[in-house]
Amino acid sequence: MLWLCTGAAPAQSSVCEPSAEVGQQIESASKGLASPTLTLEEVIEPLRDLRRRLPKDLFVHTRYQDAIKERGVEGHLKEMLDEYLALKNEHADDPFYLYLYGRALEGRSTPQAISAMEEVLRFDPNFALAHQALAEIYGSARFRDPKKEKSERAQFLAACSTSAIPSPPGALPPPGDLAQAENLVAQRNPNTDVPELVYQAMQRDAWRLQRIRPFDWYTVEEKKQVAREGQLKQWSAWSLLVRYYRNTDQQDKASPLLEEMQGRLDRIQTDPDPDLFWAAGATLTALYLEGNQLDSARETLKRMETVLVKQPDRKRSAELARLKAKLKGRAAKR
Amino acid sequence: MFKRKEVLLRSSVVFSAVAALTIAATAAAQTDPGPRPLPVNAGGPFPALSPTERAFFSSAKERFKEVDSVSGAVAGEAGVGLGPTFNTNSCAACHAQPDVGGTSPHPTLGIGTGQANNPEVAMASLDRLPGRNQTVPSFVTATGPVREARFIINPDGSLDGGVHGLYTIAGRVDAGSCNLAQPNFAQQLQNGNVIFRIPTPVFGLGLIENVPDLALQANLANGASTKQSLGIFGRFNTTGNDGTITRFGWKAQNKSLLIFAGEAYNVEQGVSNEVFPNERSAVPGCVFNPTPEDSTNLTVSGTPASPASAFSSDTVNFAAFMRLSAPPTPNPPASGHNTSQARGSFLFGTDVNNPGIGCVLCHTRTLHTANSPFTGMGNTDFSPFTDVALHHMSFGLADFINQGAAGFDEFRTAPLWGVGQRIFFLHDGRAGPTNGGLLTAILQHDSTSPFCSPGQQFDPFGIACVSEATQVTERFEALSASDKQAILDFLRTL
Repeated sequence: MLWLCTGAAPAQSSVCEPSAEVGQQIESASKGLASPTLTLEEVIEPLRDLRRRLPKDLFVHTRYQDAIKERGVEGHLKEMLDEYLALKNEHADDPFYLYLYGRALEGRSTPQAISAMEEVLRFDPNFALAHQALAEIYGSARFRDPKKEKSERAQFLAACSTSAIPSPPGALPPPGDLAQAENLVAQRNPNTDVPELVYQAMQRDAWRLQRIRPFDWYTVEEKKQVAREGQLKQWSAWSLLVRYYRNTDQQDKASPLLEEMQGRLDRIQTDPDPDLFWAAGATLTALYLEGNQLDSARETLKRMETVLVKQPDRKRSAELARLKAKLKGRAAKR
Repeated sequence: MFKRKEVLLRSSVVFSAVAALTIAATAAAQTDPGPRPLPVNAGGPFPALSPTERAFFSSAKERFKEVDSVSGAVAGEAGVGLGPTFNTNSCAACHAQPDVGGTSPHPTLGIGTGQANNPEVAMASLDRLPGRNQTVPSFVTATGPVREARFIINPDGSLDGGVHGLYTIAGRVDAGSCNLAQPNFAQQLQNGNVIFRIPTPVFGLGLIENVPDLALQANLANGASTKQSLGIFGRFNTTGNDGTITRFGWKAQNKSLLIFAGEAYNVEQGVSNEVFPNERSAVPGCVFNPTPEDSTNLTVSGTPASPASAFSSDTVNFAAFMRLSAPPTPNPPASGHNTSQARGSFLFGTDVNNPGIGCVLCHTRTLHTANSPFTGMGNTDFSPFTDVALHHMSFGLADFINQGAAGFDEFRTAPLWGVGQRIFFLHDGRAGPTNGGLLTAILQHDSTSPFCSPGQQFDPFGIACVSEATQVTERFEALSASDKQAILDFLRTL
């Protein structure tokens, strides 16, 4: 296992985990990763620097890869893959680089990662971390194979009894939370943080999608579902903003936003997913009713009714009836 | 060499501005009647299409209206792949007047879908986080033409010519990790390094796509002596791959509608696709999707109205929309022309044997298609008012961009069908409602290079010393006021 610890390393990592000294350096170089305000480019530089200093320490490379997988988007991941492909080609027949390339493929092009790890093991059957990677893959929901997982896990633990198999994929960040903004708006609190809270939630949803989208740990359907959930939530987020702007007499901000929402509703009327149109229509109608824009509310309800006629649904019928009753009540008060 | 060119470019900007002002000041006797009001004269399917073909067209038109966001997760913006750089987020936003597929809209003069502000203005703030709006470049205004910007030279002095997106996705709610800055347009403008292009209407383009090369060559050769006596030559832009004629875009740089669609999708919206599969300005933190972002759909859900459309990529749908669309309908038809319009038609010229003042020598009225797989589109005459050839327009219109064989001052004869409902004219939209519209566009055809010595054909930059349209434009200028008006009236029937 000389290839794990040659070079200018100040301390030698074992086949299973980094040496204490390297571990400390990795930890120190990874500090910025916890900061949500720093860009990946900013936080990755110390790890890049460490990699330059310890080019043959496997664990420095794997931490670098993990950092990019944790914080990177498609472009970063692609760049990293290209980098390790080039290294693999430069060092043909070296399982060290083949392993790193296979690891870069993990979660991105996992079937190819499996092939790469199997090739590593053909070169060196004792390459414990390749067993670890395979155990991780076969333990994942998408590529589950309990028999293989058990076998790979056993082979890894035989060499590295104190180490663990990471559980793939890492936990997703939580979805954006609108609760605090909802409370403030419900209380008609003029707290100026409301827009910031709403946008933070929207950004968190967008980021959540980016933690799923580049990886083949998730199916296409799962990715679509998360994108759809994000879209649905945006209607709630925008309606909070409209209410907040109305509550704080910022009609100059409420009106254009409402207009924009109307424009987007127009676009999705023919969307094959009626849920999206329905949620948007209901949100918009509620806002129109609250703002006493009864003609606009009536028009939106008509369009919702058209969709309902095409695709009957008992729950939607009830919701439509409720909104119509509200409209009637408002009109009577006028 | 390029320092000298920079000097040239600055003088080009001044030259154009002065010319436009002069023209506006002297053109009071005739007036562009302005864009024809309702009814909308374009936007539907080619009339003879079969029901299946019509269904494909309709679905493709819907796809043309699709709005893109970075990853398709923004409400009402389900298309995937916007950016990293872009001009707008939907084909239909810019191709709007007088219907989806047309050209730049206008908030008061536009009709149908074309009655709208320039959509590029809103892109600076659309879906941006608070405090992260971008800057609307000075050459983009709510009532001005939709514009893409190209830089003439790179910082190292080599020729650029490429489109530089007006905006980046940095600061959008769906592009958290992107920090790509907008180009410094103010600086580039100051350096005289920016030229503009406006969207071309796409109605009826399936017909132009299907004219055989031989027919175009024969048309260009037809009446050669008459043309040459007026200084008109023309040549075709061709593809380096198979040598055939390329025909779409301001310099006829694109071979096919599919390539045209793929290029525009990548350049205007930043969506990589099966024709142009690589992301532009691919700064890693701004790349959010695997490439190509638009590709063939291998599965579809439900029972789509047009399975062909549902399975096809956006790009194929865009091309299908263009290909299967009807050409603009003149109004009134030639048989219904009033006296002035009829006189204008005569003066414009009908063919090489009756060339009037000579407009028709380039703006060919009638072309003929080859056999076609689409119902009714084969072996038919149509009236695009173009010869699809490149012509040297000299210094006044030169944009210093090479595209394929097209040089700095060469442009494809702009098809005039549908011009009756257009608002902005010439490649950069310099002629419009504020400065004489069509009349200014006509007069701008007359140009010479200030860098030519007597007897020279081309200046040191390869720009023609005299525009191929100069003599015809001089004939136009020599007409009586009522005859000039007649030509304008005729053009507004198209």
